[in-house]
This record gives sequence, structure tokens and C-alpha cells, in this order.
Amino acid sequence: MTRYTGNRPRGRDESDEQLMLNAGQGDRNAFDELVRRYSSRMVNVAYQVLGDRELAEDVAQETFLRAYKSAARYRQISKFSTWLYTIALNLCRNELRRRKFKTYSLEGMAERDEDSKIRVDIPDEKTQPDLDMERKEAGTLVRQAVEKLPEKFKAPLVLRDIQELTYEEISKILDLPEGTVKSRINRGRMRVKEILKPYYGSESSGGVS
Amino acid sequence: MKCSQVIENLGSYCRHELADTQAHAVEEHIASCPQCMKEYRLMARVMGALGEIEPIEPREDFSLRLSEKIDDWEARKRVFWLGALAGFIRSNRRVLATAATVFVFSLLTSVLVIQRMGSGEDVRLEERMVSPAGITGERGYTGDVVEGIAMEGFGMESFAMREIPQPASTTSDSVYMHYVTGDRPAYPGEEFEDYVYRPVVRTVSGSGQTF
Repeated sequence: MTRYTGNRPRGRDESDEQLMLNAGQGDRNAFDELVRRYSSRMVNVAYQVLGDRELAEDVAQETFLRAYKSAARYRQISKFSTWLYTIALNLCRNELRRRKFKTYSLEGMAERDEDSKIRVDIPDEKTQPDLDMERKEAGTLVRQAVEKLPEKFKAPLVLRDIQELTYEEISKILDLPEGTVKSRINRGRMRVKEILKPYYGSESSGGVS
Repeated sequence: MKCSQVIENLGSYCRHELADTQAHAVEEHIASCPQCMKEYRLMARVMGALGEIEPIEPREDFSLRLSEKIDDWEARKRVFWLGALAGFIRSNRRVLATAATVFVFSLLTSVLVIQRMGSGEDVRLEERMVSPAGITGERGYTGDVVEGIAMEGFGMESFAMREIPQPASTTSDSVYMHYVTGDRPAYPGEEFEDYVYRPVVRTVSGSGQTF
């Protein structure tokens, strides 16, 4: 389930923090190594928060650019990954606020019923026997549901349930107490469940998956 | 455990995040509550699906594009500083000429003062030292007072002030290193991230010993 375990460094085995300190002293290769280790995670976290692939690439690029600009002033006051996630999520937040974030993927698919509950129309592909397809569809569906979450629930949920970070790390990245983080994640999960209930509800009366 | 509490904790239960006692309480409840059992099944599917979200790969040219942006930024930074320096010189010719005159005068005065110090007279000069970015330690003398550290971009606003303490022994020379710690640099994304932080440490003469 965990797919963001971090790539093992190929050519260098210094810690992230050491690489960043080296980058601050002009070692461009050290910074390239950090980009190699974290580019996938940064693109994905931005994609899961913003829901737009192009925008996610731009945010990830900007994240690294800002980190590079600060390399000379970098001090090891926190874990490098935590620091990098903080930059990325701040940029995502700016982006959401600047653009009055519109949902992309669910546009035209999700709409509000009279009782204000979000309805998701699922393409009728459930009869397809391919299990991989079903899994993929489930992943796509839940990702779209996550996109619909308010910002304050979305970021903690993405960091915990998709990026697999610890509560402590999330607490530092979002600068929130751990209790608040846990509460927001729980509420985010409940909202995702409610969004998906019309779809899952019709077929989940059977066994537990 | 009430239904509302159980439902709130279902996600954590599915991810095995609950303490054993809480987990048992949830299990006992859902075993006897059909509605919560239904909610549990739904949550288990949601949590499973969250794990099925396919990660995307950065575009192949991600590193290359980033590298170009970094090169571009470094080139612009060089041009900016050269331009700023040239502009400063152009617009402050008179001031610089005056400063040069004062400098020469001060130099001559210093020579005289050093000559007098050699004769045992207690005369001290103000020392102004500019340290490179990030270095916050400067040499000081017994009794000196560090006026402060200023951040470029904020004018000469001091934010640290500390008197240099007496050395343990005054028998040897009384010059030793003094360290001043400053504020942390801004994080990228913070409002002031584009400012250049260059500590300027200025010591003013105290009532130090003759040396």
C-alpha cells in the first residue's frame, strides 16, 4: 500500500539534510540528488491537493526552485522532507486561493442534489470483470472524492492516507497540533465516505473488502 | 461506545491506529449494531480505495526544466547585483566621493592613533565589520558592546545586542572570539524570503583594557 517510501539514493548515500547543506555550498549535484529523491512525492502531493496535473508539475518545480534559492541559508532546524512538504503545501494553498479552485475531474460529473449532498455519477463500467480495472476505477473515484474536500480536511488526509506520513510529521508540516490533525483526518475520511456512499452503498451490503 | 463515536473512529480503526482497548470497543459495538457494521464496511472500502490511488510520474523532462529555471535564476541574480552596484555608484557619486575622502582621512588618523597606542595610551576605534551571509560570529574585545546585527532589506534595524563578557583571564591578550546569534532565515514562501540576510556586526568601543 505504501508507495511513497522514497527512492534509495543511487549514487550518494548522504542524508537529505547533509545534501541540502552541501547544496548550500554550491554542490549542484547534491541538489540534483534531492530532486531525484523527492520529485515524485512533490508532484503527487500537489496533484492530490490541486487535482490538475500541469499545475502540480508547476508547483513541484516552484517548490524545488524555492528550496534551491534558500539553500545557502538552509540550517538543519527541521527534517528536510518536512520542510519541503511545507513549501509545496504553502504553494498549493496560494494556488487554491488565487484561482478560487475549480474542480476539474468532477466537473460535469458531480453535482448537488436538492438535499445538497454531492452526487457522483459513475460511468457504467462495473460489469467489466478485470480486477485491475476495478481497482483503478476505485482509486480514480476516491481521488475525485478527495478533491471535493474542503482544503482544511484535504491536505491532512492526503498526507496521511495517500502520502503515508506520520501524524507528527503532518503536524509539523501544517503547523497544527496533532489532535487537530487527527480530528481533521477523521472528518475528512467521513466526508469522503459520505460522498462515495451513493456508489458504494448500492453494492457494499456484502462482505468487507 | 456510542454510534457517533464509533463512526468517527472507523477510519482510524481500519488503519489500525487505535489503541487496543479502543479497537476492541469498536469491534464489540459493530458486532452488535447493524447500522455501524454497514458504515464500517463502507469505510473499509474507502480506506482500501485510498490505497489504490495511482501515483503519477513527473514528466520526463522534470529535472531538465528545473535545471534551466535554476540556471536562469542564477544568471538574473548576477545581473541584478552588478546592475544594483552600478546604479548605486551612479546615483551616489557625490556621497561616495565624500566617503572616500573621509576614509582617507580616517586612515591617516588611524595611523596616528596606532602610533599613540604604541606609547601606552588607551585609545580605541570603532570597528565595523561586515560578515558574509550566515556568519554571525565576529571578533571583539574585552568590554566591547556589540551594537547589533542588521538585515539588509530592513535598514539598520538592530535585533541582537549583547555585551562581550570579561574573559576568564586578563593576563594574556584580551582579544577573543565573541559569537552573536541572530534570527533564523526565512522559509521560502514566507513574506520576506526575497530579502538578502547579511549580518552586519558593529562593535563600539567599551571601557576595555589597554592592550
